[in-house]
Amino acid sequence: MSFLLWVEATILLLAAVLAGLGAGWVTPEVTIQGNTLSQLTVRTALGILAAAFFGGFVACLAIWRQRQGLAELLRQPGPRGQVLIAPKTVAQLASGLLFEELPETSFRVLLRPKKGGLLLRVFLRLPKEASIPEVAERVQELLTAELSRRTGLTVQEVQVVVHSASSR
Amino acid sequence: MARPEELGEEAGRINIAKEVISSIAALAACEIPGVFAPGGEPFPRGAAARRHVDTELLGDRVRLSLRIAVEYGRVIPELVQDLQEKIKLEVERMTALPVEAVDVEVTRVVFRKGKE
Repeated sequence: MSFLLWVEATILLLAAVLAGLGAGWVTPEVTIQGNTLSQLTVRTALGILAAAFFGGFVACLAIWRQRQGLAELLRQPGPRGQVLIAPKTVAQLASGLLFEELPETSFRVLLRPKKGGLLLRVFLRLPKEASIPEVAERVQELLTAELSRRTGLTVQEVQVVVHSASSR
Repeated sequence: MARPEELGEEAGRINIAKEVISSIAALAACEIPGVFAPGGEPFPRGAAARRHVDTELLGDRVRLSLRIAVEYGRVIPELVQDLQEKIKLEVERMTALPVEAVDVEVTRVVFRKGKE
């Protein structure tokens, strides 16, 4: 996954450089299908394209940095060697706990590093009659206590996002 | 090809290939309840186990790295500690090589039927 991210970042950077060079070296006029574009128009278009590609490259770096931060957080030194709990494992554990607590609810869990601990963002689709504050509180208490106990990791915050209500 | 580990030269040399150490570690992992191969299947024995166990020889010491899955409901730090101790014990008992560390990566959770 990390390798693909680096491939993507490299392609975006190359594309940004090429678009930037094109913007600098463009000929005075460009004709496309009979329409003549001025040098300024072509330069502006290529400049925007270069900026967009560079923005994509920066976004890839930000994603990589976030993943590195999360991986460092999930790596715990122990007396017999290191223990690394993959982000997927933590998300699966959280999903298992939520499934036991709220079997009627569909959900998705995302992880982020936060102040030496984990930030969990839980997206819920609740049944129509459910009390949102009550469910949110149950989810927060459950994940903070049980996930810490089962993984040894510190859960700093659990954000609950209710994105819809089902009719069932 | 594996780098053999030399143990002593008084009565001849004993060479232990890295693959053998990996196999011993995998066999020890099989004995810990709740430990599975990263794909979710029971931890394999023999040659197949080497895909999930890396052995590094640092002079006369051994460093092992394992990738495992754990059964849902287990307390991961306790399970991993049991696993590390078991592997260290078995490898040191069978090879007489000191184990410096057993690094464990928990790649996924295995749910019982109907829970995933």
